[in-house]
Amino acid sequence: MRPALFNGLALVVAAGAGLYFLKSTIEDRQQHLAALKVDYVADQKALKVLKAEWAYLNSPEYLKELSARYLALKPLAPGEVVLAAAEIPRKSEPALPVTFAYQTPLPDEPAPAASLVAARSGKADEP
Amino acid sequence: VITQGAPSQPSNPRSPSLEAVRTRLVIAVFAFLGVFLLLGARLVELGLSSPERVAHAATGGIPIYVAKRADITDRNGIVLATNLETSSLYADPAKVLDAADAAEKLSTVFPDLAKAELVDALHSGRRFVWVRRKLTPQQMVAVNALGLPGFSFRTEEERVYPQGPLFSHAVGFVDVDGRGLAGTERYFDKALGDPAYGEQDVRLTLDARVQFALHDEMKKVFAAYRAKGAAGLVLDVTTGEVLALVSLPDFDPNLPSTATPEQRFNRVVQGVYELGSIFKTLTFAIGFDTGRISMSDGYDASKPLKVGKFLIRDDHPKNRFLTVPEIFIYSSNIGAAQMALDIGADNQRVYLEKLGLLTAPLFEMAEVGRPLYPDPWREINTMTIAYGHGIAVSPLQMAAAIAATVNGGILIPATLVDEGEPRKDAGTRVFSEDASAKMRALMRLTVIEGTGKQADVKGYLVGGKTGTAEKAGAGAYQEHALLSSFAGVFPMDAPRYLILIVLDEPTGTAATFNYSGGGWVAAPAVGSVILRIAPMLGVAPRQRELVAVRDVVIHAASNP
Repeated sequence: MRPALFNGLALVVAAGAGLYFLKSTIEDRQQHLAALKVDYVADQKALKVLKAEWAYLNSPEYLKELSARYLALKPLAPGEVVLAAAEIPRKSEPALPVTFAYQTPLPDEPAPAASLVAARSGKADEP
Repeated sequence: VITQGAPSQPSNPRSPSLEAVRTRLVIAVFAFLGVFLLLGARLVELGLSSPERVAHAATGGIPIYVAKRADITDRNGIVLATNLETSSLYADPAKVLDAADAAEKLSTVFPDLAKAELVDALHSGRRFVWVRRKLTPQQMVAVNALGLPGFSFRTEEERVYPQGPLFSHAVGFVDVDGRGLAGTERYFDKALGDPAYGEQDVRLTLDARVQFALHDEMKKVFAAYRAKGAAGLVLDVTTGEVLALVSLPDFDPNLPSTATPEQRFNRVVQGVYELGSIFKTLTFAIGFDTGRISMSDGYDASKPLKVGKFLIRDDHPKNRFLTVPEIFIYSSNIGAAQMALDIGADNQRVYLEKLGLLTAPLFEMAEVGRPLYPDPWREINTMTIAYGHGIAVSPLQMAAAIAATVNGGILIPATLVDEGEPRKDAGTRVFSEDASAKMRALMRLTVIEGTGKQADVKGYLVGGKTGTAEKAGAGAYQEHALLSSFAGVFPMDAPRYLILIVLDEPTGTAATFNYSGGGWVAAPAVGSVILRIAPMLGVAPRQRELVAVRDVVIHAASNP
């Protein structure tokens, strides 16, 4: 047999084998892709269910129940709000006077002038 | 035949029989060659063919699952309504072997199954009969275990409201086939149910946290004062966005068929009421804006006002001359009625028209109540409307109108849908900036020392107006059937949120000294709501009082 013919035949066989493996790989990948797509749709549906469950488990009514059972949280009183992070007292430092939002008037606050305000400030404006 | 074979006579290659064999061989070789060439060509063709044609199903774009109906979320994306898959049981009567037996067996899974009706349906000759819609997974397993021929499942989608009754009126509900029947579900039925609308959710302006705070506080007073009903909303006065909308009694939208008409009725949007004294807010704003009334004026409220056969009385009588600020903060009907005469019926009507109180509002709900007002508009009507009797509007409209008196004078139509961008220039000017500033001072004073004291929350500069209306009965007003309300706004130095709570026929308790007026039953609830929502909404407590209140001289000089 001539070498050229032998080489040609070998090439054909190699090409055929390569093509076969290529095509079978593609087929596997496509099956994998199809399965992934099915999973993807299933995951989207599951995500929707989980979102609904998340909303349910985070519903304020339920959280209120849990909070009442395990925590002692109450609505924030205006006096408990500080306006700047720097005013929050730290453990390591000696206690500094804290300016709570409501309690201390600003230095430039003019004294209540009109008599009607003075009359009423006793009950309405005291800290 | 065998003796003619070629190998037996190799010595004579040219014999005729050998020629014949050779010819046949050549024919055979060519025949095989032809077949192999064909096979080879086919092999090459298959090898070169595009893979798409081989496995068509696996290709295409990324699949996006779109439910049959889009979700509804609050302004922060919290799911208020969503579609989940569920299974429904149906039967093909032609394939059912024994209808009576099948019905008997199914009733072990569904104890409330109407057996006789099912047997009738299975004998009806139809090819499709729903047995039960939207089964739970346990029911599905139980039905499968029965192994009945002719019964199958179909995957359906079910509308689920994870928040339960919290948003019952705001979001509404759907029927078993997923068609919107009430609330936002009905108004946006097409958009929600259209697959072309895609995964685009409808985002409402409601805030679940604010909604819960309002719902929770309203439920407390609703139960404590044994009210027939209650309506409440939280409105952003700068944008018209509704942050919370609650109507009591309410229901679970997951089970709409169990709700009574009383529960389904939306008292905030659909109900129209004679709201009483909170209407004075508008009377005063109109008075200031037209220039017919000034802060330094006053009216005689020493005795009830007799107009024809009507007698106008005060709920909190002072029995003396009252200044304009006093008329507001002590809520004098006698004073307000006289002010309305000075303002004039025409002015009153024009302003109420501008405030949108004489027409049904445009709002993103199907069930919008139409206001009721007198026609013809007589002098006595002008006087009673000044303090909120003789005109019936929905709490939603009222809130939008009051918002216009405090936000600088701009009427911004209320909205329930978050459009993603701030609604600027959405409003129309009704009152001047100056009239609005005066209203802010008066409303703040009402809470500092008037009828609304119980709504005060230190630091948030709450302002507001109480309302206590006698409900119209058969031909006359009933003294003991009240509609008590409070409209509160905070913070008054830069008004941002309005909370309106209306209680229908509350009954006073020992804690309120048997009073059931707006200042006793609704104002404290508004105060509690503000205490809860202000930190959530990022309103910082104020250190100083509203400056404008210092400029208002409340008491007449002659008064001790």
